[in-house]
Amino acid sequence: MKIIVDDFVPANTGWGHSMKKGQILRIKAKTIVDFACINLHNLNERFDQAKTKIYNMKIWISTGDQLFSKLNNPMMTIVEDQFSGQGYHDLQYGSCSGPRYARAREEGRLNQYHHGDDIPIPDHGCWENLIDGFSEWKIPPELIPSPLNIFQHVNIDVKSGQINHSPNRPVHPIYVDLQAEMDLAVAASACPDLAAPEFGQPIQATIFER
Amino acid sequence: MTTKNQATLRPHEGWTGEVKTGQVIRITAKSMIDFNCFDKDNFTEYFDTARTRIYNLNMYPTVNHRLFSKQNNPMMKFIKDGFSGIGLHDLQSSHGCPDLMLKTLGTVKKMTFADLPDPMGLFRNLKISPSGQIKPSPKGPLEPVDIELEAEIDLVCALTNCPAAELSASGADCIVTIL
Repeated sequence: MKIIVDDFVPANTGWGHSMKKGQILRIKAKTIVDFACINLHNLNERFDQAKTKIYNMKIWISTGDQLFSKLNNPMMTIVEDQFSGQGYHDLQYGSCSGPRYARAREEGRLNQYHHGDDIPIPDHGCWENLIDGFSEWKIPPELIPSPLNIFQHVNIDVKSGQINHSPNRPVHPIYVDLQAEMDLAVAASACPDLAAPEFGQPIQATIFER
Repeated sequence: MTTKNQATLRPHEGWTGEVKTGQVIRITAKSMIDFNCFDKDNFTEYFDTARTRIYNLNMYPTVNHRLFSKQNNPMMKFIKDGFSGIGLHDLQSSHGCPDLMLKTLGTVKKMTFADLPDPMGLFRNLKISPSGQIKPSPKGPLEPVDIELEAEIDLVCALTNCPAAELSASGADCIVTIL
């Protein structure tokens, strides 16, 4: 295994890097990681939640499934998923953000995160962190893709459609490996994760070649 | 309510127009309709499916839900849903007729497919199994029903009347009314 980059990402910060087709990104964490990717040679080709769900014909993706772009091309393949059997990764949520937490507090909805009404809220979240992660490529905030939310297990009642935050997270840091299907700019956010038992934690981002 | 404007769309026709704060757009249809809206003065503030799902904590938009923008602001209130109890509207899919939506929006704002936000898919009735499998389900209303959305900011709204027979009810006329 040849390590290209191996970075520690502190809690509630963003990380970004380029990677070549065939390289593998390993995201290791025990709390939510918001993740997105963009074609390195065409910044208008971005990861897309809807295309990913429809091409895989499922709302939860795991080993063997592919991440798709808005322009209908495969961008990455999940080649290993240590969360499989413990929980699902999410494709429903947009990124959390400072304004979203402020609105949740204003509307008395912080208790939905399972820690009561009186929790401190961060002034920024994954949206701002992904903007930072993609800063080298100057992606406008409104074009930051809604992400693949790694380790964000969400309870969904498929009959009523009801979505609930869940505290189900890995007990110890585990990883997901994603192989690039094209040259990419990738970004990840170590989510502040208000629903996690111990809130958001640091993550490790590693790019390697086999 | 007073009718301000009305248009009839044949299958594979689109409509775009302004809907001011407090006005209501009524969509009377039985075929699949893709719907988008934008802040009239700022197209970077656009309807966003993910923000809408999570604000409402629900995958299927219906009465009392709000449509939210990418920048986390309320855009519209869902005030009437004639499809409730018959089937489900969709917030998972891309456009069924993206070229038609781009052409429709093009009279107001030139956009590319890469920048076209995902729509609310009215009457799409996508079925999702407990294991997360997605399956299209051809079940539209037998007769046209009303969907009403009230604008919370001044908007440009756009919709397309899908002709597809394979995913929804067969293509039929759609009436758009601004109240």
